[in-house]
Amino acid sequence: MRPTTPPEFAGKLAAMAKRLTLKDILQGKPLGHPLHPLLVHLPTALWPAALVFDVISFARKDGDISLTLATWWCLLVGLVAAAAAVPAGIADWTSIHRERPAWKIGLIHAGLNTAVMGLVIANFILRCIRGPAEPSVTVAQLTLSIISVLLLLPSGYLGGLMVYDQGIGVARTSKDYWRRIARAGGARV
Amino acid sequence: MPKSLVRRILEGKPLRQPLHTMLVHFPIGLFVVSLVMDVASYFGAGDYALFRGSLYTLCAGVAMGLIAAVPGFVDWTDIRRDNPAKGIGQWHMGLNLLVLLVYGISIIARFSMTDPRRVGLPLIFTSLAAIGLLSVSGYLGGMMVYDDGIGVGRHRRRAPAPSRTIALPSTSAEEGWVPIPGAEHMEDGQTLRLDVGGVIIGLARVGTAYYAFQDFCTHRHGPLSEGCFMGDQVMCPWHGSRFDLRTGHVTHGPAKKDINIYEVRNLNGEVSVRIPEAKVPTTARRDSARSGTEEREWKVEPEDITSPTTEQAPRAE
Ligand code: FES
Repeated sequence: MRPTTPPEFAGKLAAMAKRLTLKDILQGKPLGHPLHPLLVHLPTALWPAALVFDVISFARKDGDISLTLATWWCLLVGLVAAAAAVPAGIADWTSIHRERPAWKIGLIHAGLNTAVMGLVIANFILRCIRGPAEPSVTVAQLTLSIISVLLLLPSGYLGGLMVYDQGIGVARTSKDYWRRIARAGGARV
Repeated sequence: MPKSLVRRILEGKPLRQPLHTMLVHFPIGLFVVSLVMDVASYFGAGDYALFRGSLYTLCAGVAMGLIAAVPGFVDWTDIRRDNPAKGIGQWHMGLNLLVLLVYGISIIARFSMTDPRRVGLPLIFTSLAAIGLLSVSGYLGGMMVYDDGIGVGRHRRRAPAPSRTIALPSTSAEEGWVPIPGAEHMEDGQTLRLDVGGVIIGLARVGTAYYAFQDFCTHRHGPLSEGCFMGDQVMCPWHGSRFDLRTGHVTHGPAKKDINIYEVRNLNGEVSVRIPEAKVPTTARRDSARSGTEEREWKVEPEDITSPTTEQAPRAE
């Protein structure tokens, strides 16, 4: 959110609070920053990190339970953030016009993420059954980690394309700020 | 490898999105999970494995943070000097380096613990403070993308974005034509951002033609001088609106209104633009009135104005 003068900011907040819908909150409008890209940092980082820990643990086979434990926590924290990111992502997606390419990209992104979520939940349950701190990963767990990351990477890439190629969420809250600058610069707005 | 290629790769242009924003997931996620593990080990029975696990995630986070700093810095050098994001970027960079420093010290402290079973409250609060700083810094990074569009649509352009806005007084104009110093040396696809007596315009060279246009898109006012030029059209970097550079008409949404365009002439290599008096913001107009500039009908010879090229066809959908 662009800084404005304090009274203007207070007025904006008051006006916003009156008409704030659930969708606005999910889109991060009160925060002045889209919520979905903020939340997805955690699963995007932690699930590949979990895979790295798994691979090291599998390759070394020396029974370092701190690696399997780190994986367990990475999966868990990632799942919590991902669960929160789902409604935020859906709210952002419903604002995209159907004829824009981003609509379809968003659909594929959502589909891939659903698959990844399912795999990670399965992976996590497997680990909980055996206990979080096992001396080494099983082949089944490692396979689940690998497949989920293989699906997660293209999905994250598509999410990035929506922002950096299609501009989804860009200048959503700052457009008034830029309009003022444009008008002062003699532009048609 | 040529320097420009290294730069293109560090900016993530072949991937159509910045490298920095892909890499920063890792320090953010890993630092958060490390704090969670620290808290768990604090309330737990004192678990050596949990302590080690948290240390592993911290080390990985710092390593990834250092890697992410490189493309991040390259991205920052690309931002126009008068863009608010330039200053935000400085804070973002400073805070991130501070966070990495704090975690570096925390790692050293952890390695030198005599009874490495459980982290004490001082280290937990250090992590908490670092996460606080990281949140502020991350928010600033998000502002640069979602408020100022840094990195958005940048890959569609080969030429670098203008590094500053060149201020030119319109009052020095001869017959309303303002000469643009250095414009004759512009390369194909290069753009300048000009402030001519308060009017912000973009000047682009496409092939042999020059175009001058208002620098703000009519959709959410993205910088057209950082856009992509295709024949006689410009595509806004932010959401892809397209405008005809000869008429200013919108040729592709989401923008609905046309942009202002300005006359350009190229007299034996001296490129000038003309801003109609009515378009100059009132303060600038008053100044020129005081200096006694009078309006006059000015006729441009057809050969003075470069013809728009038609070599490059607009890119298909
Ligand atoms: S700001 Fe130009 S297309 Fe949205």
